[in-house]
Amino acid sequence: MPTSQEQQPSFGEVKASASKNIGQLLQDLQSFEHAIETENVAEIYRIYQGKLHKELKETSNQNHEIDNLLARKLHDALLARFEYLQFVKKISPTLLQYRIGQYYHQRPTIMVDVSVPKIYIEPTVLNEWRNFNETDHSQLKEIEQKINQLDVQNLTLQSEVEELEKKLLPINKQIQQMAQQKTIFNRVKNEEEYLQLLNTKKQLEADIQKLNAQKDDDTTLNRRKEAYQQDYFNIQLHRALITKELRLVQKYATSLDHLEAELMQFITDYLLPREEVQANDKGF
Amino acid sequence: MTKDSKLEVQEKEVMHFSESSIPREDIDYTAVNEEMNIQTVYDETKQKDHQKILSLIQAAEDELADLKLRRVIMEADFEKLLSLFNHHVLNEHKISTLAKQILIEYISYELLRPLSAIDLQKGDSFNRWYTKHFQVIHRLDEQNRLIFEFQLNVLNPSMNAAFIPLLAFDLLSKEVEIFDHHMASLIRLWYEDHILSRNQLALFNHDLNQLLLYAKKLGFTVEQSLLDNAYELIVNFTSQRKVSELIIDRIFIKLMSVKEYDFELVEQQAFEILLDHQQKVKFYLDENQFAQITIDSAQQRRSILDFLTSYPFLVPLLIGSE
Repeated sequence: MPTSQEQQPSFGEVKASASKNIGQLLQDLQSFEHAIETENVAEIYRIYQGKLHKELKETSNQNHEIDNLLARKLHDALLARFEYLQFVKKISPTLLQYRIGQYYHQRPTIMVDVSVPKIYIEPTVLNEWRNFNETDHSQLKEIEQKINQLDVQNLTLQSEVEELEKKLLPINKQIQQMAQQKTIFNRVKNEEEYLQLLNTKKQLEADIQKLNAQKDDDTTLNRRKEAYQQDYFNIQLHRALITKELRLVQKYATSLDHLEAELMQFITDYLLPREEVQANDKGF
Repeated sequence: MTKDSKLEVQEKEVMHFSESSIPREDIDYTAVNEEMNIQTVYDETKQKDHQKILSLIQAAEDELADLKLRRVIMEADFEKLLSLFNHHVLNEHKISTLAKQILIEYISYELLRPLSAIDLQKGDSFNRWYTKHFQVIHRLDEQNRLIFEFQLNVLNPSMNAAFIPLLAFDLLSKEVEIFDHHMASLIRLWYEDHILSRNQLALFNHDLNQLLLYAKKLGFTVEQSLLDNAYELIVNFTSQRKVSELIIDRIFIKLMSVKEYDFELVEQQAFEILLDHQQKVKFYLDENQFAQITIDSAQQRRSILDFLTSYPFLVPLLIGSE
């Protein structure tokens, strides 16, 4: 027991430590309250993400009060800095969507995660923007080739069918002739040859059927072509959209790299600690 | 105008000659007959013959006068042709059908003269002209205006396009009206029926404008028209049919493929097409999905045919969906 007694802190020590914890907690709460009161964003993030107790976090943000506050604050700051950004929608209390300007077939391209906070180009979009090559039409050419192939394939099958049908013709004739020359006993003169001919005929007919099955009829062929043409059009339209978006990026931010750098710089500036907050910053 | 009065004098001179010579003999015989008081069948026949001779002379004189008129027509310059037209056609002074035809043909030729550059030739029928690019028919309308109808040559003769009336010359007031609304027929023949090519329409626009330019040189006032290259285009249209999203998509694709062009979304259903040289086409879709279009060629002076053949991808916007 003496060893355990030695490790056991004294009541005084426990009390002091508990008081210190509560004190710290209170202090944190107070400075959090103050940060919210003065809308000191950098401070709010620092406390909220740092030492604020989990329970307190959850309680204070019960109905997304903190999220909403931060979202609104960030939204206002963002639009003040980037006049060309347009708000599209809030997809969750902490995730907001924006786009660059207004355009035909417009879509959200800039994402804001309020909780971090983080601002970034939607990854799929960024990928499309980065990899877009206006002069590269290989994707479209590929579809053109596929359409051509459809025709070629069907024509080849068609000519193969015709080839077989040509072979079948004399065989049928021969069979007919032999059948006419049946003897009174209802037997052909050369049984073996006759059977062989019948066999060849059967084989040829089976082959023709097989080829025909592989071949598209006209409606199927047209349907498949139309499907390809639809793909073709969709790609064209999407390329036009990306072109338009890149033109807007260039117009407002001179380049994609510059846009990304500006967005990052904005967050850095946004989180710069402020000494005291101006009294007139209470419009919110 | 002095030439007109000279013509009248000519006729009167002839008439005077016939009046003065024949009745004198007539009176002599009547006097004798009254004295003798014997009226024979022979006399009656003779009197009938006399009437016959009078009308034969009249017919011959008319014919001679018309021949002389035709000679005057042939010798006339354009101004003289116009005054002859004014006198004989508008004021309905005596003129034979043939002379009238010739008069109108000569005036037509003078108005079509610039087309000699594309081999203007007289056709088989009296009012038809041929050129390398198209045929022309001239005719008078109810107000005696000279109308020109055009039919562009097509490669496939079975697909003959109709004659389209485009120009009306008022020869008295010297004004030219252009039937802009028939422009749509030409556009359809090109874009929908594929009977005409874009190139043909572009050439036709050039030829037509040569005619307008020449008419102005001849002292005609040419009404402002969409077919005239002399003006900046600022014009509103409503699409003939509904405009689908597919049509707008295709225009968008085309615009994005050219650096100088752009496409702006102004509002939910309102768009702006930006072309080169500050030219713009604005349009919005009304509640029936019809496009209300404004074409603005900025400082560019060009006809609607020139504009649309330069930007053929815009034509579906005017026509709409099938």
